Amino acid sequence: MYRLLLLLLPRHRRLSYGDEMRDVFNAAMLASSARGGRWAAMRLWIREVAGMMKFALRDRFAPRPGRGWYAGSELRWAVRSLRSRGWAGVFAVGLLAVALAANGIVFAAVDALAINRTPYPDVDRVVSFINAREATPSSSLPRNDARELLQHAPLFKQIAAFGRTTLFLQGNGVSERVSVVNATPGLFQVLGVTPGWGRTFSAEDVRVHDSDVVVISEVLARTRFGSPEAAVDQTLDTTDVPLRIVGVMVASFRFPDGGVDVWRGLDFDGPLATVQYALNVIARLHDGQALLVANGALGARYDPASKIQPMAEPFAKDKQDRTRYFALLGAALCLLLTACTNAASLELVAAFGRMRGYAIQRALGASRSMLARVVLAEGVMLIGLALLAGWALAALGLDALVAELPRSYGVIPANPIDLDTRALWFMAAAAAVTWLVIAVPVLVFATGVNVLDVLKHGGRFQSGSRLALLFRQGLTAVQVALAVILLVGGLLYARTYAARISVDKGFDGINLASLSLILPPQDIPKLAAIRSSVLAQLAAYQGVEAVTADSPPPSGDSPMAGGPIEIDGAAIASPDVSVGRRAVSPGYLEMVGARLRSGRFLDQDDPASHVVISEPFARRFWPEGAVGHTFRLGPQMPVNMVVGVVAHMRANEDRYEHDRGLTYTYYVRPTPRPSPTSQPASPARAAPTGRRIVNAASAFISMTMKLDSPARLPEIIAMVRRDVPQFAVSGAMVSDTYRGWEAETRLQTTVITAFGFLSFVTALIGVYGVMMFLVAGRTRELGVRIALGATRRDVIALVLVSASRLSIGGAVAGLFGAVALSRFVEGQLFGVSVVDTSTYLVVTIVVIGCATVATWFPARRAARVDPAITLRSE
Amino acid sequence: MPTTTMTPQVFQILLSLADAPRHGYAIITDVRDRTGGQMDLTPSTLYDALARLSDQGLIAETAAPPDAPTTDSRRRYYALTKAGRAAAEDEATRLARLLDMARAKKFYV
Repeated sequence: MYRLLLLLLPRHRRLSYGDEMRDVFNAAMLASSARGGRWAAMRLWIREVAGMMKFALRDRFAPRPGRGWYAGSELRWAVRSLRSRGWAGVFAVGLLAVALAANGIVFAAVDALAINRTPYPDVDRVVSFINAREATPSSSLPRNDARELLQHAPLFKQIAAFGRTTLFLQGNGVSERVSVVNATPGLFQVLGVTPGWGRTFSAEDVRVHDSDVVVISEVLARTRFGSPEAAVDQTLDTTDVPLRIVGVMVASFRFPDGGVDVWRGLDFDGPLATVQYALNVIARLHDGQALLVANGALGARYDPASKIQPMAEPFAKDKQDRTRYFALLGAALCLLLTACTNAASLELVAAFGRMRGYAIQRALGASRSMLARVVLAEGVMLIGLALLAGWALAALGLDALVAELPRSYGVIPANPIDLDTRALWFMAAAAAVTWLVIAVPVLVFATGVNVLDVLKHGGRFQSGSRLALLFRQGLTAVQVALAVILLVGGLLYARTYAARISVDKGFDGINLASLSLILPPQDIPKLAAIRSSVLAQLAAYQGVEAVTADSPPPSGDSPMAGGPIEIDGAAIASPDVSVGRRAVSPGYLEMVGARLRSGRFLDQDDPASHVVISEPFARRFWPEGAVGHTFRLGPQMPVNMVVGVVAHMRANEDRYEHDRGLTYTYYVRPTPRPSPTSQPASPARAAPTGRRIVNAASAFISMTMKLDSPARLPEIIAMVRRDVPQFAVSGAMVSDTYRGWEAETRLQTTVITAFGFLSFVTALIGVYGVMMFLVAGRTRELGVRIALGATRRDVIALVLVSASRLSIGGAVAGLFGAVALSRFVEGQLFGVSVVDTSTYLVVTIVVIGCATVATWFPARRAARVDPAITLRSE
Repeated sequence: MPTTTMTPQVFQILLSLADAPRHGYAIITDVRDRTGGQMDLTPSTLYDALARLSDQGLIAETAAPPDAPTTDSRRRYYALTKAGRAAAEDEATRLARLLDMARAKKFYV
């Protein structure tokens, strides 16, 4: 980027100072980021751009003896003409800046989430190992296989194994659960990254220090130690052994995604390896080594069943994801195109105004190429200013987007969503295209000015102006068309969102909240006692109307798919049936507001064989009524008797398909178990060294409460945190959880509708501008018409009709465009057809109606033309 | 010899080079440290000034001092010329006179 900036300088300056300036700038950026973070770095960039422009202008314009010609006159002309634009210039720059910012932001997000998901150096040389022995090949390998693979290190430049786990950090009075990657020392070398502070752990470290060395993330370093520098060589307190920090990774490094805060050294002979059952193995190929050759060598030396494949997924696999990202990028590009055409139209007006100037310049001997250079320089300045402003806007807007990005996107991407070099290049490329779109029509117009014509007719008669007007009308129609496309898209998404959130959940869930406690491994034996005490405390708390120790709807125990099912004693083969058993406390179904269709809810005295079933289950096997009937899920299972039927409580997966009726649930009272700890996987293990290494397994306590108001939830969470500070406590309103599933659609809707609205307003301004221009150009004709007896009404109608040709033409083109494009997003729509007539009709009526209103002022102005004045001036 | 008054940035750069030759980034840090962060030169401002000072013959490129910490060939060292020292002295005298006048008017004690 800085190299581009240096192009502003004259060649001799660039040659003598360019490299050095780049060097100093890099050093200054580093120092600036370290002192004041991203904002300080951005401030430095802005100051540097301003300084560079000053340097370049001063150097080019400074009078210097012995220098006959210098390339500054075009720039000087360009600056002068740009300044003469006034508010129109500011509007054009602002419009382009907003459109460029929108594109920069959307590209940054799409790049991080879909295109460039794994941003490590030479990532195409990094491969991951696939375990092809299993029925479904996966990159997760058993520990011993991973260990064996690491013995084949010479086949690769670097090789490393890693596995994910969690740790409970202590300190600050609160327990914090963090995601950990246990990795062998080569991990960072395979990825080709180095820590921002300190160093990575070496083989010596993990051997000597017994798996207690870690590299942590910058975010964790800042929250725990204030700064990354301070964190190096400090100790991280955990509920297990203290860990020594040897290095801190910069915030932009994320592996395998942004959720990991600690990378802990793993030694296959050490104690940590004994609890790491599955590992992933990745390697960096030797320079020049082909993937196929490496695969062959691996097959020959190790195991023909295992293979390697590139680690980086070049693109989001999910087709829905791809469509979503491309729809957003397409919407942003549409907005940019609208802004471009509007700015091009404005530029053409400005060029038209300067036509006499161009003619005089040509008459005085300026060549066509000189005029072309001035026009191009003007475009560069306009777009340069827009790019700078757009960049600043994008930097501001990106934070808002990242904050708004729904949690339902799941993992935090490995590539952070930021204005990185790729995003800046994209913005620069978009700006360059914009520049061409804007400058070329002006160029054609300015260089094609007929000197004699213009000077002879005093600039009023214009051979080129009719063509320019036609061109402007065309541009305006394009704006209207783009606005229609975006508005139709926005409305279709809005209707999809509305349809999704109004799908019946199957229960009322008013003021229903969930609360979960995650216990560190050493507290797992106390789980039952903790659960009872928290439950009692919540039950006594004012504002909690009811509470049970069950997870909130719709989650349940794993369904048992297929297999024989016995209905009223008769076995039925039903491979498509998947039945989930859900043990719930008595009172739970009433509390969540389950809708009873027939029979009754479970009560305290019901035996374990009494169950309540979901409506689709009842409909499938007992359409005439299920209460009193029996079933069991296999000959070994107990017989269940149906005492009630409730509406299906839909889950995330089947939220749109709940009436297909393939997922059935039955509710039963929990059977008392010998130990409420539900046997968590090996809470503690004796390590080979004799020291206790705690397994990462932790236990969850899940509760559901009915509150008198959602506002209670934060105070309840705070209270529980106070009482059990060593646990990670979190809570959410159940309605928010359901809404969260639709967050992607909401974001999509908001962004596309906002772009559509902006584009719509821009198009209206375009219609207004072009009609004012048209009326001004036809003053004489209108004067003659009025003199010959045309009424005001006739004149207004005349203008409105010519405007409506524009808006109707644009709207029709937009409708065709929208129909053609909508089939790409068909899979994302729900509850609305891609060719929904009402949506198209509403958008068309609104666009044409608003365009007519925008023409009203020019039409009135036309009607006020005084024929006496107009004709006299002729 | 320039007839116009020197900008504060140019004067600070000359002051930076008064003791010993320095390279670009060292000038930036020296000026920032001496002014307590009030003057923070960007690379473009610095090299704009250095280019002009060099054209006017007030500074000249010089070899890296033997105790220079880096051998990076891109780092060039700049030193005051005789004319540069004289210009800085003239500017200092002008500023001192200005201060005397301000003191006489009790703007400054």
